[in-house]
Amino acid sequence: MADLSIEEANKIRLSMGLAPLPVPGAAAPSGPAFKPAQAGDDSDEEAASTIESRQAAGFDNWKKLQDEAAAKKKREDRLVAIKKEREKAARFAKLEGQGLADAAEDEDDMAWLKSSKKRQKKIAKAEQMQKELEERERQAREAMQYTEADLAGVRVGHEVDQFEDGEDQVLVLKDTAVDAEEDDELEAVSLKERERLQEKLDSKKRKRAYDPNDDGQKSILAQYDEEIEGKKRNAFTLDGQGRTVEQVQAEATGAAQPKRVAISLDILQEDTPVNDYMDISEVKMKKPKKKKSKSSKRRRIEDDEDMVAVPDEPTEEMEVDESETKLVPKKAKKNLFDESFVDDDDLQAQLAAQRRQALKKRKMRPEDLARQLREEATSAPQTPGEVVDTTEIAEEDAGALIIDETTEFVHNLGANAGDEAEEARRRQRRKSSQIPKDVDSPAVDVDDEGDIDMAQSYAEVAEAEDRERSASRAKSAEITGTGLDDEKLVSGGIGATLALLKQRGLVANTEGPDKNSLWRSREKFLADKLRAEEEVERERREDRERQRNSARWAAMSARDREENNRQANAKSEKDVARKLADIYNKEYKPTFQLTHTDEHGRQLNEKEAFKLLSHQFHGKGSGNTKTKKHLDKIEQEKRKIAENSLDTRAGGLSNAQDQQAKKNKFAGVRLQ
Amino acid sequence: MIIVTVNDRLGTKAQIPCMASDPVKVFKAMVAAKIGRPVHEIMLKRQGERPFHDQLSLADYGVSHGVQIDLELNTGD
Repeated sequence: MADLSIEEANKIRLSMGLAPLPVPGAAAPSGPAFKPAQAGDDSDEEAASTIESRQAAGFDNWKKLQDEAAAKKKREDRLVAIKKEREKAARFAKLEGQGLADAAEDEDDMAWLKSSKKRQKKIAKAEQMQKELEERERQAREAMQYTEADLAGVRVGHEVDQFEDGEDQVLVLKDTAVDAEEDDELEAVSLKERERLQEKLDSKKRKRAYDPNDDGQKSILAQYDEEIEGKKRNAFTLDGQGRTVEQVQAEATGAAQPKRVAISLDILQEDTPVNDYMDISEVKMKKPKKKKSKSSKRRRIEDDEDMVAVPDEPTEEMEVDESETKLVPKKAKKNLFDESFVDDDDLQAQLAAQRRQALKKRKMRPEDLARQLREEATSAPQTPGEVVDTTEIAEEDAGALIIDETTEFVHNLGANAGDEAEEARRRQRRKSSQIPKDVDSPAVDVDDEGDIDMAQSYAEVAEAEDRERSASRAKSAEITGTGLDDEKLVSGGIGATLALLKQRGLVANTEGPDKNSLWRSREKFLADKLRAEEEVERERREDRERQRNSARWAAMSARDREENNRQANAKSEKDVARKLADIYNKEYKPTFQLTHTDEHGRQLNEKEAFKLLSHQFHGKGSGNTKTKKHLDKIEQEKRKIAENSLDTRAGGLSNAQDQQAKKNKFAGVRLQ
Repeated sequence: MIIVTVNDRLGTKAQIPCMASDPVKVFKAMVAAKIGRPVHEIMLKRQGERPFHDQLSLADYGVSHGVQIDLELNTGD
């Protein structure tokens, strides 16, 4: 199945009518079969000129290549196999040489013993040889080594003290020029690097020529010495024994060693601070002596004297005159009082005289004055209860006039400042009338506000009126609890109602008077017109009556009558129309009011109406927030109106009053 | 003469000697003869490419010695 052999292929091809495949090795066919085969000449001299021949040749070449490769591979395989075989064989090859058993010849023991020495010698020799070999090797190795001695006389390009102790330093030959004649110099790489780095950093620093800290021992322009003369190099030379040549030289010359000065270290201990306090032993304490002052002595003496004096007096005088002693303290007191008052007699005399003159001028006796004062004190409170009280007081204590803080305060409260004159008048009148009447009349008047007793005299009437007015005023001027004016009551009339509504914000302030007058004029006009029309109607009816009764009417035929009527009607119509037109032109002043109403039923002002129209025209209203705000505002208005109409709060401010208070321009409330 | 391998990848593999200038029709016939299927059931193609046309020759398709061509048996109607 895998391979179709050429014969079979050819068989298939021939059955199909195709040219058979060229068998490899055979000559390439020279074109289609029907061409006559020409010997030699026609066959191309080139190896393969047609595709088939070329292909055949190619096939041959390929085959050749493959064969060669295969052969090569085979050869190699064979070689490898041979080698393997050989090694294998070699593994099992017999070892050459004598085996232990083979080498041993049959010897007897004596011979063996004799040969033992020889053997030993041999062994020794072998050992020696071994040793010598080793020796030789060692020597050779050593000879190769490079020891310290080799370094004798070699320079090292650093300071001795630059090397740290305890470390192995690897020194390298310094780089020199090829033609340098100097000896080799060693240097440590790390130290060299450090030096170079230091130089670099120093060169980067800007070094001044003048160093203030340095002494003036350097020559002038010392900074250029390095450039001129070359860098100074420190070097020391090694000798083979591990020391420097310089050191040896120094020792040899016996250079002066620095003197050793003995310094006592006691100096350091001298700096202890001195104690600020004295020693306890040094302190001397002295006991202070007690000194007696003179003053204390003196006082004692004085007291003694007093004590002696005082008890003496009473013992002396009491026996003699008791009354005198009692008077003495009293006199002393009175003396004090007298001193303060009866100081300036002249002044007092003058004051008394002045007082007398003033009293005389007044033409009133002191008793009257006292009564007047008393009545003033009691006249201030006008309510009946208090009047009763004061009258009681007046009856009880006719003689005394009580003036104290309360009465003064009450007097000063005085309801109306402007009514001083009236009050005075009233006082005069009351004085003239008797006291019991005083008690009755206020009670009567207060009870019957409207009715005045006709039996009273004119003066009394006037008095009563005054009192009434004052009472009403007092009532009106009553101090409200909140400090604002009370709301007007509906019972106060239309005006009060309107004011109340305005205050509560339920009625907006409109231009009332103008509108009212206009409306009235229009109504009047209409009424006049109606009246005129009625007049005209009446006249016409009367005319018709007269006509009917007149003679001419009877003479006229029915048609004539109709004609006449028609004409008359027409004429009257014309007249009426003309008159109406005249009246209209003269008197009719139309006012028109454009009101816009929105969906909530509110009246819109100009701006709002325009907004509404605009929204309708453009078909687009406001956005969400704006409409929400608008609706909220409307709701708030409605709520406010509703609340206002129902708001009654007994104590404190109602909602409306609160708003009113807020609308005031000034802060605070007005107290009476 | 070249030897072309025809592989079914399902077990049918054959090596057919032919000429590079042979038309594909002849080649198909030889394959059919070898395999034992009628010619119309055989489709020769390269992987991912269109099937070979009968009119063209193997050389046109660049089929030379040792090339393997995919064989599809009975995949038509």
